[in-house]
Amino acid sequence: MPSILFLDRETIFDEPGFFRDLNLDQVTNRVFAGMDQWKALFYTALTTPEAVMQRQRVMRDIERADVQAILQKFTTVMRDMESLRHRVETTYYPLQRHLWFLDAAYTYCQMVERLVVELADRGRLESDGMRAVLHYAMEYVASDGFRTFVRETATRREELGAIHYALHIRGNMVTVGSDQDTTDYRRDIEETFDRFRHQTVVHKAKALSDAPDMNHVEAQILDRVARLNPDPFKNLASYVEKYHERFVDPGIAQFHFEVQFFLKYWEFMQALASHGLAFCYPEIATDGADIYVYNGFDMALADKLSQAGRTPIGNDFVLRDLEQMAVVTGPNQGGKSTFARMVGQVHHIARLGLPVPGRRARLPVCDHIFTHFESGEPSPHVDGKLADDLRRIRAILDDTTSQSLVILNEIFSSTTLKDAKFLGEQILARIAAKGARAVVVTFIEEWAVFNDRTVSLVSEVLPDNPSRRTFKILRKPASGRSYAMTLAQQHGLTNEEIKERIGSASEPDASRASI
Amino acid sequence: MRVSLMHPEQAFDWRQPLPDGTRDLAKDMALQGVIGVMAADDPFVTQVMERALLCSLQDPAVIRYRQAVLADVLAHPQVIQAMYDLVVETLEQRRHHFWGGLASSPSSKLHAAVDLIGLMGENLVHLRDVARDSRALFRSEGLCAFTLRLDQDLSDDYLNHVKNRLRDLKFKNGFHMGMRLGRGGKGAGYVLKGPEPRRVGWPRLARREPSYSFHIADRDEAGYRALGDIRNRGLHDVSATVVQAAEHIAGFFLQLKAELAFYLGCARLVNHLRDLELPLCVPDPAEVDSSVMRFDGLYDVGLALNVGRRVVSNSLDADDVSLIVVTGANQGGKSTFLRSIGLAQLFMQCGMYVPATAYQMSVATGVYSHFSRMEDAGMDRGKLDDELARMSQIVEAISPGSLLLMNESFAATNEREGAEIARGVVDALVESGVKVIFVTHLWTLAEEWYRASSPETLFLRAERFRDGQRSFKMIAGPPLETSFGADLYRQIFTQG
Repeated sequence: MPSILFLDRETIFDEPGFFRDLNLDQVTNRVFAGMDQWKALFYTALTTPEAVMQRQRVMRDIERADVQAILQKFTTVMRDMESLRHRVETTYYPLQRHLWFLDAAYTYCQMVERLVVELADRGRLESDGMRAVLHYAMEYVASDGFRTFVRETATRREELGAIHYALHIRGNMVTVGSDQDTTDYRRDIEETFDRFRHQTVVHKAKALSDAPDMNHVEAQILDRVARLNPDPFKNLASYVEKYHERFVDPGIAQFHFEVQFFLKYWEFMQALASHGLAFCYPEIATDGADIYVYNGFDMALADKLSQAGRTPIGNDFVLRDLEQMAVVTGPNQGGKSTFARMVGQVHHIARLGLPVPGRRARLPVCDHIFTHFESGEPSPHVDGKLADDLRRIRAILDDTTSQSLVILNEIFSSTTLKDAKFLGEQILARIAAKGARAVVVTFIEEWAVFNDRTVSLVSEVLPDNPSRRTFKILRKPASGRSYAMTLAQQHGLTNEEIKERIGSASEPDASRASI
Repeated sequence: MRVSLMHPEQAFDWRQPLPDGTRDLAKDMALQGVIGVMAADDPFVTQVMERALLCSLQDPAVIRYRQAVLADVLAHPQVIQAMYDLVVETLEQRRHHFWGGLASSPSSKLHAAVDLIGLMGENLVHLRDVARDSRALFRSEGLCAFTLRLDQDLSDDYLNHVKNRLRDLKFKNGFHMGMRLGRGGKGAGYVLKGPEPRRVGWPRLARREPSYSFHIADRDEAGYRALGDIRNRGLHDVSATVVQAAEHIAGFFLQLKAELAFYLGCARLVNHLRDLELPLCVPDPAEVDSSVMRFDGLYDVGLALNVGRRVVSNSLDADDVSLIVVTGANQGGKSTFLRSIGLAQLFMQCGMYVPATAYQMSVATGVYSHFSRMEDAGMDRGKLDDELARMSQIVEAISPGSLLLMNESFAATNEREGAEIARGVVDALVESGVKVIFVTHLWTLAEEWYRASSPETLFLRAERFRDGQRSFKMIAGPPLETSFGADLYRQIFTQG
């Protein structure tokens, strides 16, 4: 049975420690709301560049609008089918039970056949994973067992669908008979009033709600209909007998499970993308060279802001060549923690083989992501807390390798400055010795020049108005761009961008024609 | 049965959402005061006037179509008023006769709708008679065609036919329906076959064989409810159709009300301005791509209504100009000048007459305004950020051929930065085919544009005499460095 996940390790069912610090727990809950089984897939990172790239290819296939539509429909119908099967178990009247069963079976047959036809029709799938699934499904659909099932299902439906009956109600007497009359009184009425038809008035006649279960009057009517048409109902009974055991193929069921991992993440991405936020597939860094994400953003924050129709400010994280450690300093509330979370998030998402928040990225497959976020709350037992912190950090450092990412946020900020400086320097030296990459958010500016592999980043403030924050994290020295133009740029109001925006909006066809 | 008094083919949609950015535009143009006079504070008419003014026409032919109808309305106000009164009365009756909302059953809705159609039918006859009597008076294509349609579509024969139908729909002897097996074996595809013929005894169905009957026991309340439910399903479609027909007829009245309200609103303002002896002209709209901009004696109608007399007016001859830069004295009438153009353009593009002695303009694909706002826009947003956000929304909505009125944009930062942004924005808009009128204190930028001496840029400034007095008129001339804030200071601090 083919898999599109390429899991190269056991699934992790417990939320990793860094999820909470990076607010990835919030992201998980948004992406997989009410879908606990899938959360484990979000916890479980892939460990090799190959597995990551294979998944990226699957995601690229799934992301294609046409394939996307097919798969969305597939999962929707699959869920409908499951609820029909559930209904079969819970329905009281036997005739109705049989009819529900037929419905579920028909839904299933249709769905699988359509999936194969549509996927095969959509040109070349690029990923091994999706190609294997398609191949598997094609063989299944062509198999004798499935063909027979489809044929019998269709015949049962035709027989039952051909039944028309007439109903007359007078007082308390209900009469059921066969129906040959083809008139439709409604058309006569429509014709009479046709000249008043008015485009701006559409009457929304409420569809009468109908519970799926039957009442005894309906059951009696169905019973009379079955008496008028004995053969189709007899055939239906033996069909149900024959296929009563599970008819859903395990391979199809597995695909249904796995594909939702991709679809759910895609939906989440799409919700943010509709607010103008970009996601990208990171290039997987297998050597030591540049690591970067441009215009990266914190997905949890983006999700929160988007509810209010706003978007977060994107930031660039770049480590060139031998650069190993980014030290972020600057005033409070300037977006430093958000920046650190963003860096952690993109590293984790990258190793899930999914697109990361940002315009362009090149990222490694980390073996570990370690975080230590100071809560900022003053602790009543400073000494005890410091000891706990140090123990935790020790544990982190023991497992750290050159392939790890360590994120330290305001570490030791609740101890004395002298202690903080001393302890911090020891720890930074250890991280440096391990060769791990690190993001360190701190108020201790000396660390910004810790060694020659350290990059200094600063959260930007306005000299004339320090209370205003841009949430930009910049490599010092600053780019020299004026603040106002930066702001204009953020609003897409540079000369070029305006022309592009007006041009592209007014000539949608021209751009299409030029392809 | 179309109304089509505001457009030869389309029904005027007075419920459409206002286009992006028009809320700011309405505010900047002080449209509320003008609409207040037109609508005489009637909320329905206000809604209609807002839509008519802010959802501009772009086809000069349609603009002329409305201008012609307006001329007829002004010439024969009593006929139009009579129609309007009849329409209002009908809709009032309908309001008292509503079919109990969505919750009521198809059969009770059907009864209510049948009654209502009967009622509205009587007023249709009255309306037709008014149209018949007044047809010869009208000259405009819109009113001539409308009155003719009423006369032809509502013949006596047709109205009799409707009466018979309404009688059948009461289903005195029950009805008979056909269906098939739906999901889960429940009935589906209910089709009403028609009323049961007037006959005593066995239903017509039962005479065909084979058939099976059963009875609901007398005390089986659930059974009766289930039966009522099935009956309602049978009636559902026909009920919906009849309700829809009633809605359509009411919709016709409502549409007519909206379109007549528009003209009556225009007429109210025209008469008001005539009483004040203020000039009005029938504007001459030119095609979108024509680049015509010429007017005489143009004044800010909102201001004139406020002060109740003649106010300063301006003239301009600026064909082929794509950017007008207005500089000069504070309190010199620059904002008024911008408003007078914005309002005139909105008036012209809704079919209304224009407060000027002559007005010839290309139709704009959209009118937008970007006025600096003095009040604080919110806690977490700086003024410049807010201005930029509004400009970004405008850029999102604007298209080539639009008109943008900018008033002191980007004054929320220092001049160097403001100019840097404004240059990029205005140049890009003009190059994209947007016509921009820019009132600004960014003198360095204005000066720079002036030196570039593009034939498509026109420079105006608020006139100011040597003694510091202002005429409130805009005159052509190079940008002036000072904004005369000192004047204002002197005026406020040395007088009185």
